[in-house]
Amino acid sequence: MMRNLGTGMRLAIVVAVLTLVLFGMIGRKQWTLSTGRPVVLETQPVDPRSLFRGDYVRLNYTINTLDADQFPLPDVKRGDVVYVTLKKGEPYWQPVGVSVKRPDTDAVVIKGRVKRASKQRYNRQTGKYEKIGRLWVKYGIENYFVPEGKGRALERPAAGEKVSIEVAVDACGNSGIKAVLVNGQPRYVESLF
Amino acid sequence: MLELLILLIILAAMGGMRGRGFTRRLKRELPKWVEAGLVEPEKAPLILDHVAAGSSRHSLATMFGILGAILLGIGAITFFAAHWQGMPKLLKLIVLFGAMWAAFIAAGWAKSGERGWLCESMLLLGVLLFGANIMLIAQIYHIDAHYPDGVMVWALGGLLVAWLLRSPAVFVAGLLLAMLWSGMESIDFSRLHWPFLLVLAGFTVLGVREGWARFAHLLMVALLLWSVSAYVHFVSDYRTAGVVYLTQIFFLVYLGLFIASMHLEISGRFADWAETMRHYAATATLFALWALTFPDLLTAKFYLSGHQTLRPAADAGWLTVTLVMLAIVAALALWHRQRMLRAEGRLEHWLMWGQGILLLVLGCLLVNLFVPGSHGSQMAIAFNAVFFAGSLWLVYAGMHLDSRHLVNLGFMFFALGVLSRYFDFFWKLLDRSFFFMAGGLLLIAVAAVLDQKRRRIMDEMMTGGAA
Repeated sequence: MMRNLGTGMRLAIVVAVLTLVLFGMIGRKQWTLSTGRPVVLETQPVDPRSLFRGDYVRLNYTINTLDADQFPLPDVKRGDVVYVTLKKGEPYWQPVGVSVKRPDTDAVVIKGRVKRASKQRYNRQTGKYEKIGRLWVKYGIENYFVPEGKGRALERPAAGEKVSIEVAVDACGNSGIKAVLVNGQPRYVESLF
Repeated sequence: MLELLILLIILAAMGGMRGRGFTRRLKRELPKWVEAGLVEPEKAPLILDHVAAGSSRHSLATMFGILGAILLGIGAITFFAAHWQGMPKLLKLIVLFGAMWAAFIAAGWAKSGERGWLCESMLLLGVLLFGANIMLIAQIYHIDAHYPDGVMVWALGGLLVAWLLRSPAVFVAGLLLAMLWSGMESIDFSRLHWPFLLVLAGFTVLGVREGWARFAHLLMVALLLWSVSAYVHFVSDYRTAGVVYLTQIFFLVYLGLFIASMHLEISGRFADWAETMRHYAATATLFALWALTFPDLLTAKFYLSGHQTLRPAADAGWLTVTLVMLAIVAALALWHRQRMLRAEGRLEHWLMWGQGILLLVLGCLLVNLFVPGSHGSQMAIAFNAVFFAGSLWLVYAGMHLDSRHLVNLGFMFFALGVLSRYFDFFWKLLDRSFFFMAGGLLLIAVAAVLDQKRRRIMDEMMTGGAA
């Protein structure tokens, strides 16, 4: 059937498919932001620069590191997908469990990918390694692009300012940044256009 | 990213120079056709002039067009980056999508006006802008996914464009992007990246369908690079004890590819593909066999619970996989033998010798499965014997197949084998200064003898070819 298609039709298919792929990227993110349940996460931003992508803030969430003394950790390796159950706390949501399969629960469950798994962790206070397992998990919400030069303001907030992130988590566990909050007030809010 | 684009420039430009290889081959073949009475002697130079002029004009225009497309793509990306802040989100999207659509519309216009070189350039530009759009949309909407996925989508977009619009430049760009994707998954995430083989199969089917045999080099390089990353991945899993069995399996895979290339040659339709595949498969096969000639690998000392241990005989897992691979290779070889007998009525000497050596190699691999590391030295002698026999057979096969590449490859591996054994045997026995001096002399002597033999064979091939 394809053999009979003219160049115009072939070009139309190419343009349609490539455009749909790009719209799909936008739509998937917007779906998460529109339907997801909002959670506020504690973060400590740092500010590297991406040569091709402009300024962005690298966000380091407290839920990025999960310790075995918080709750049991599954036996996973780098690259594995895990589901972290979150519970509302004041003011930030906290992790209460991690599993390799999505738990059957009404609670908010965020999907992440294991960046590193270790059988021990370093205790900064004692300067020693402790035999407590630790997972480093990435959720896909660790980068936030800001207008050039504005990253530093988030990296080094003024005295008394605290940066936190409002994240939407959809039914599948996908997440997206809804807003950057400074002292609980929105500084940057995401919209479709 | 910049390195990738530069690589794209070079390879896409190489893709554009498709006429050169054909002209060279025509120069080689035309005198034979004249002699056979197929072409009138006075027409031969005219044919050559016509083809040379056409290919040079075509390749230059395509090459400059592709370079222009790449520069345009880079310019567009940097322009967006520089003016990003001032634009509202909607305008950014209009610019991104508009630029990509414009490139494809321009490609359609160029195609209808018979400007093939411009069509190629615009298609490549469209695919480059598709990649830029993936990155910039990820930035606008803060999409921080598993980043190799972005390159995968870009590569698949390239495959789609190359498939539907039959664009060699986009084929090269798409395949390079697929290699980049696989490299990211293998190196950055330390995983065995099987999905790459599916995408590679897609590019191979397209290349074969379009008759782009000149891209067989790139396809084989992609496959062999992937196999190296797979080997490295497995080595880190199986450590010292299993490395020798793993190397045997990889050797069998490469050997299977080599025999498959000989099958393709018989089929006639894929002869151009077969030659390139044979060259790469022969190189990989001999390299893996060369690795198996090292006594240290076959003995495989390793430490278990603080004690030095030698490699045990293969366990059920290694045994099963190796035996299956041995059966496949043997079946391929037997099938080739039957096809040759059916086609020519008898088996030529070089093939008979080849099958004899193949039998010995397969025997060595089989025995090694049941022999522990304590007999590593004896196995090393056996593997060295078949390695040197295999190198010399390749020279013989190269002479028969009129392939300088195989002749050179055979000599090169023969010399490499001699040098490796010199290091193995004399490194500890001789004083260091004497070791290097004697090694230097040996190397010069081996080089002189091999070069003399190689030249003689090449001369014979030339004379034979002319006759």
